[in-house]
Amino acid sequence: MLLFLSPWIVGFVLLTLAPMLASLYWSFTKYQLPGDPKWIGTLNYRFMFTKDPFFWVSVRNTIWIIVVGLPLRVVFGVITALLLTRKRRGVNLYRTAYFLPTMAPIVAATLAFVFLLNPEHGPINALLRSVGIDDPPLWFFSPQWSKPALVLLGLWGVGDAMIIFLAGFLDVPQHLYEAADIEGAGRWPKFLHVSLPMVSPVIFFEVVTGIIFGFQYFAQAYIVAFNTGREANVGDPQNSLLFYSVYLYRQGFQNFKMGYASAMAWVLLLVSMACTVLVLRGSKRWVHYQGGGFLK
Amino acid sequence: MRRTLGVAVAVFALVAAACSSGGDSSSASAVDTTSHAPTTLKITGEWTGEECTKWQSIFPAFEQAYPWATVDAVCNVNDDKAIKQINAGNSPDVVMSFGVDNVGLFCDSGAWQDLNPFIQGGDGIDMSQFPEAALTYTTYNDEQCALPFMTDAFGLYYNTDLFDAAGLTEPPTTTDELVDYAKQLTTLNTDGSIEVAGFVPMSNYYCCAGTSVNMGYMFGANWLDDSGQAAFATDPGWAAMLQWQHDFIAEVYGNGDFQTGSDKLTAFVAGAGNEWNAQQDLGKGRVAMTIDGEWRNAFVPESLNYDTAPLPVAPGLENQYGGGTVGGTILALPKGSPHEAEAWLLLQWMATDTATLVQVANNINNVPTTNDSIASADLSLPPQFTTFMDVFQNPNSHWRPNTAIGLELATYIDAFIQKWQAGEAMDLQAGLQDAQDQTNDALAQAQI
Repeated sequence: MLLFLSPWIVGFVLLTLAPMLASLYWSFTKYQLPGDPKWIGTLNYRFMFTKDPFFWVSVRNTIWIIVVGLPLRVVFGVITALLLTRKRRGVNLYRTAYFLPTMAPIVAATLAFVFLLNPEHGPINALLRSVGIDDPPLWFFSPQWSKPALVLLGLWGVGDAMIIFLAGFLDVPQHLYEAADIEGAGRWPKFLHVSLPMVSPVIFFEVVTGIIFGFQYFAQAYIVAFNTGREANVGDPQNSLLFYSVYLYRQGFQNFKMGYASAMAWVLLLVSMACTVLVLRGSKRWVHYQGGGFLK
Repeated sequence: MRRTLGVAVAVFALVAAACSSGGDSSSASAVDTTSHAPTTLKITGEWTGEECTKWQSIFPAFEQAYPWATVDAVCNVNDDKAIKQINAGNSPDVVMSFGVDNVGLFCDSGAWQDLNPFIQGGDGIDMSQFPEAALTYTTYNDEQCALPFMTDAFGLYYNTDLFDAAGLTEPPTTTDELVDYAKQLTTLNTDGSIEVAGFVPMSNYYCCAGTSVNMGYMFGANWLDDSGQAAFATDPGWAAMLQWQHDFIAEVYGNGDFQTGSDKLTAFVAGAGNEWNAQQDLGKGRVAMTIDGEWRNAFVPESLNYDTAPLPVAPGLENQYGGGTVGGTILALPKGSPHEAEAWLLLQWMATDTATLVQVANNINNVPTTNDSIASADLSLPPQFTTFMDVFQNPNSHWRPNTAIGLELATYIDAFIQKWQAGEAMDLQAGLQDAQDQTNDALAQAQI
């Protein structure tokens, strides 16, 4: 038995456990690459929480993208999936069209949005001006609009969530709808009391992975900064796109503070775990499992 | 399934742990002991594309001078990649870096070796062949951790056609004149937006226009005080600089109202053309005056009539006129360099060989970095380039000071400037004090 498990065990120990323990140790050191780690106790953590202004900026930005972006993504994904459950001509074409953006590489998609949302030359603002909006948003150049612009990008690529919601809706047993019909339920009650509870495990999955993804939000913000500002100022405009992972990158790979970056990574891991546990506990109230949930 | 970033960092951590043997730098006494055995010297650099090819073309001359040596010049290796190589014990022989701000950081951490033992050794070199400004950005705490190899110098570019149309004959030499000129050169569209900007003093306008390092020079603002602490709140130059910027924006673009001017400029900056081709705003005639590096000469379209001048300076600092900010590509001997003695020969050859420096200057349009190369009759650069060679040789020229926190020295003040110029921070002195305190915290943490 152990022999069969050994590839996984070796992989886990070498590629996951040992690095995690190493980074845990480094989080208590001053580790300025390529120097040697020097033990400084909890100083990295104390500095992070009490003296580093950008730490809290990055926390606020990350919470924003989770609190605003994730619910919109779920709602948009559910609505889109719901519309695509109906049998009508060309439904497969619509499903493909909504899913296609998910296939676009993240770099290409982000660059496309940088172009589309260019305040002066982009087609979106040209369209807005043509309908009488004389002062359209500056999007990625404005600290007020940069995060909403990223949310738009996320909603454009909502196809991956949509496809699992769609599978969930199509998997709802027809006899439940028939029973609801007999009870005289209309569309909205059927959606609220039949469809939604039945796809709630899928929504729960999307929420949990969405929270984890939100804490890791990096690539889009990094690419936007590179293509609208100066490399040194990744996180611009005005650090409005300085998400936690972006700041962790800045500390680790621009300032080469690997000890501090390790401490940030551990805080990220612990907070992600805590949020996941909270959502798991709360899920008992709103997630309905056909099989009754976890085995008792 | 997505993994948490913590796991991703941990994977990186393992790789780093497994490979962090590094390698101690051996004694510099090896400078006279090149064996002349066939040796391949690996040098990494940040240039890419056509510039990489031009850079690589210099090494046959070295191989001719040292027939036992072969040079393996690897492009597209930035400081991030180079540090990983050094940390993994896989150092190249020589590192060529654009990271002028990282000299203090890498010197302090030991990533780059002190070159003084080599400079003073048997194959040493005469440091007086470099302009003084070159030493301001290659030394850290009396350690010579790098040598210059081409540099960037910053100055004022101006569109002479627009100057002629406005009846202006000479470039502005003071910041007061810069305001007056900008007002005369700025034109607005019918909707009130900016058609042609006289000058854009925003820190996020391209690489260099209103940056803290360039504007700081114009106002004589010191980054550190005598005790090595940040001086943003204590040196009056910073407050003067930001108040001038505030007034400039209000007066030139806002008809007296700062927020109006700031909003107009923000929209203008958002519509800026591509920085790295002729579509850049100076080339398009969208801006009349701008601060930029000497490389801009290579990007302006032939149809543009322009000239260059040193950075204007604040009233009272006229004696600093002619100087400016300088700092560019540098050469370093990394920790664990496999062939130190031979690597030093390559490094000092690159840093001092006049023909090589002239060749690269002609090909890439950077400022050559020795007195002989600057004076060489073989330079074939546009007449506007002379400004930048003069700035480099000016004794007032410098970069921001090297510290153990590298680029982080500018992080906090730059963050405040961004808020200030957008009108989102109103208390100038409080903002400068915060930036000063935050920078001092970072400096203190680096000293632990």
